Amino acid sequence: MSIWFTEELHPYYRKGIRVKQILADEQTQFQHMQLVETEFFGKAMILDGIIQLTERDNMGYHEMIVHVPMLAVGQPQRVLIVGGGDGGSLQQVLRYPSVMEAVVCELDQRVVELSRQYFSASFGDPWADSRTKLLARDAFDYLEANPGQFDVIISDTTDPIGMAERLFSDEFYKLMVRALVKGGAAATQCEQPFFDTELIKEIYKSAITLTKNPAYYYANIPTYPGGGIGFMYVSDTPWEHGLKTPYPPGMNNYINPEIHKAAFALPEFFRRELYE
Amino acid sequence: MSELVKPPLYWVADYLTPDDVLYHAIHRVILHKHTQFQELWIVDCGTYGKGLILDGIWQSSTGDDYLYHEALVQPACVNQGNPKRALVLGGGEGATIRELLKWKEIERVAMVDLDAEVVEACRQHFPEMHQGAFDDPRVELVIQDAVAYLDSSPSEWDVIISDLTDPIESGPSFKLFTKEYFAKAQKALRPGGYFLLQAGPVSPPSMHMHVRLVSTLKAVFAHVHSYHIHVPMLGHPWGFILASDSPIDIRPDPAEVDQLLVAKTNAKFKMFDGITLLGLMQSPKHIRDAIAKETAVYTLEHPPVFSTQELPK
Repeated sequence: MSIWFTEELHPYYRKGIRVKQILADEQTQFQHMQLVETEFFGKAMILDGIIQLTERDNMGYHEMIVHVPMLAVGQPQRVLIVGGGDGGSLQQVLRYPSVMEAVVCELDQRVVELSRQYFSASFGDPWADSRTKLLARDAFDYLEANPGQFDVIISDTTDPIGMAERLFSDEFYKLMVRALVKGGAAATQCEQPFFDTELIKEIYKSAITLTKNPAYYYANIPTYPGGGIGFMYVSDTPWEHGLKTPYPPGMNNYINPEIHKAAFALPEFFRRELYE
Repeated sequence: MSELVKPPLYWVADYLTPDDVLYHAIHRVILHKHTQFQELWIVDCGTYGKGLILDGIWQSSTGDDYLYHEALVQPACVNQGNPKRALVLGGGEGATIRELLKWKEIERVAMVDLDAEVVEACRQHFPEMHQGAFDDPRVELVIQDAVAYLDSSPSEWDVIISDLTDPIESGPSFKLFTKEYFAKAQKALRPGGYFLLQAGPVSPPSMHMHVRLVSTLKAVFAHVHSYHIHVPMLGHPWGFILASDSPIDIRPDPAEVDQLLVAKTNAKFKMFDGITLLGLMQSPKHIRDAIAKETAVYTLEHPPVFSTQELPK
């Protein structure tokens, strides 16, 4: 006998992870949260039935969503993370000595609390850093109230179902770009080329209307649908600027110069859909 | 995702053979712990209510436990006729003692289970199974190894029900499926007493253990009879073996059985009555043939090893 968590984000595709132990299972004010010890991937966090991260493969996601815009900007000082309650993106942001303030807009404080309890081995305790400012509020209002404030914005959100759906809208991208300083850069969690082509095209349309040099890039994450996830880089500053910037102190586990460059190479069917 | 059907949190894959899987949904984990002897899960499994899993083997669910437990207990009791003293080996859920307490003149029911933590968990989480049986003054719960208990038990039981977990090698109970142990059970019976063994699946690829257990009991008792019932959540048709030095009525008269049940029990059965017993006692040809051919017996030197050893983990 074995116990399996089965994710059914799509009606035509499912993915299973073998579970050793169930650590937490609760309905928060906003979503259903499961924390499990898996057979291979270490601990995993599941929100509303969708795997958000595992200890074993989250580094690809967090390093790519954070370092690509951070390195492109060069010396980011003020950073905003939308979502990101697990602390993985925050940990990467705080590696930069130039960062003076990292604001995290996370609506669901239980995600922060349980992640602090269960993921400290992976993420340390970035919440204790004096540069961290945790806000339990809606990112829309916050962006609206803070134009021209951030060197980098990381939109580290759940999938566009329910409460996160608005974070994939043209309206959101307008507010996000408006909240950047001139030359600032944003990166957003931007789904999967095979499953979400139309959504990504819509988002790219917003990004190219709002900024000069947006681009889509991709990272391999075995526990996400299709084995990976993409990001939208949104900026007037070309992402290639980041290739010349030295990495911040601390160890990389996913990104290196080759990966950084290769992540922007897209399969032909998808490159054509997106860029032609 | 459909708005109407809530998808399960997890699936338990119960391998019936290396090629066949029965998936049970887990909507909620009620309890998960490693006891001193085994790993225990109590889960909300949805349609069939709550389920108990020990050492990775699905034991029972509240939605169909009456099929298993009535078939486990009542044929032995009816053949004995009016049990006063009954011994249960294993039976952590408390549903086995519940069935025995349906007999009005029962004076004493001893339940011997090795694992106090399993019993306590079932007592707390399966009230629909034990129905308060643990609190009945006629019931004595003994936390002890069943072999040790039988070693020191005088010949005082009208009925002995062996409701032990399957004899997996790493589990606590594989010794209790051997000729030596059955001889102890035989000694512990009063004249006219009946021994009943939970005896594993009887599906075509999985019936070899059951068949050999029949052969083993035949080496000890004068009368041995195999029967089985379909318990949906177990996946396989499930086998039992009734053994005694007194005769076993395999063509009981339904009306006589019903009269006995009215006279001697509280008659609160969901599945069991005279017609059910008559049907239960009849086995199909392929099982009878397999039993007729088997000659080997399980001994302490060659105990059974339940076939999950060969199944994917």
